[in-house]
Amino acid sequence: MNDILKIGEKEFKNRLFTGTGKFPDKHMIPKILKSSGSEMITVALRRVDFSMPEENVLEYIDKSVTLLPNTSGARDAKEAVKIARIAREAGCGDFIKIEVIHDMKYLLPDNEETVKATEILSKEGFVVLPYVMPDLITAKKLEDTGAAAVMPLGSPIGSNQGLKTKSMIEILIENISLPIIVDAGIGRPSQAAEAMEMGADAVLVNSAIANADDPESMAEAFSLAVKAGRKAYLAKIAETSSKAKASSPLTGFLHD
Amino acid sequence: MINITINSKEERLEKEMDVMTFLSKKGIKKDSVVVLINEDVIKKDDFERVMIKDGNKIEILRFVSGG
Repeated sequence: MNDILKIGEKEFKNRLFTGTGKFPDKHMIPKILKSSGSEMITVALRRVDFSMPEENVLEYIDKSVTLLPNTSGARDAKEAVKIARIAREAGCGDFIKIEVIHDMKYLLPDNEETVKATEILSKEGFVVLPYVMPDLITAKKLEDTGAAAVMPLGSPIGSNQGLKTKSMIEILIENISLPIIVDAGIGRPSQAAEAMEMGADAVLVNSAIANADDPESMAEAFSLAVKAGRKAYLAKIAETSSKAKASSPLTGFLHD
Repeated sequence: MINITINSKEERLEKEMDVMTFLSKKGIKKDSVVVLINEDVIKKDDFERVMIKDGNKIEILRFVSGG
């Protein structure tokens, strides 16, 4: 069945997106990409520290994988726009994850600044994937300002709490025409499956894979969970009921 | 001597030099970095041609792991 996710001009067969953050050993990055089949991965941009040996994370990412640079470090729209432009000039392509955060305790994004950055960058031809607190009003503004998707958080980054914002994400899925990609807080494959069963278009998982004892296997587990959740969603899950509904006939018993 | 800033820190260089020479002096491989002079990204093909001059604001960035 042709179940492609189209974002911008790109088509994705795999609905698990991943991140390069937090891996103790960067050599794990190509391994998790292979075991999960993920087709898009995030990277960040930082100043070189001259006292530490430098590495280019891009060396660990196969050319066939779409790069999704994030604007992490940006505290407002202006800084996010600057990072996005540098990332594109540096050859990262048009995709950009807008991440505007100035709350250092929960790392919750600034929705207002994210909308501002989206408006500027979408006009410049970027494929904008904004990371936001799930809020219908914000999501409608993102639709209006040219975002290519909406990326609501499930719970704080790295918290592994799962879909704490579930009901708000459901509202977005029902009312927003853009792809909804749940990003942040997914801690286990069952939570990724849950997001997909709800009708999310994709999920982005980083910490839960990077922090696992065996990231390669965990990445595969997440990939399977995303596929299972998506299949279940497309197969139309049956209704729940407070009473039992017998699965064997209620007549012809072997007793009177 | 010329005065420049690198990643917001003030530094002095003995003279003007091209970006490639500057990176070599710092022990940095050109393929792993993004270089900006006064907010403009310098293309890697231009590293040997573009000169760092007095008063330049240099940013040396790289792509790192991030979620």
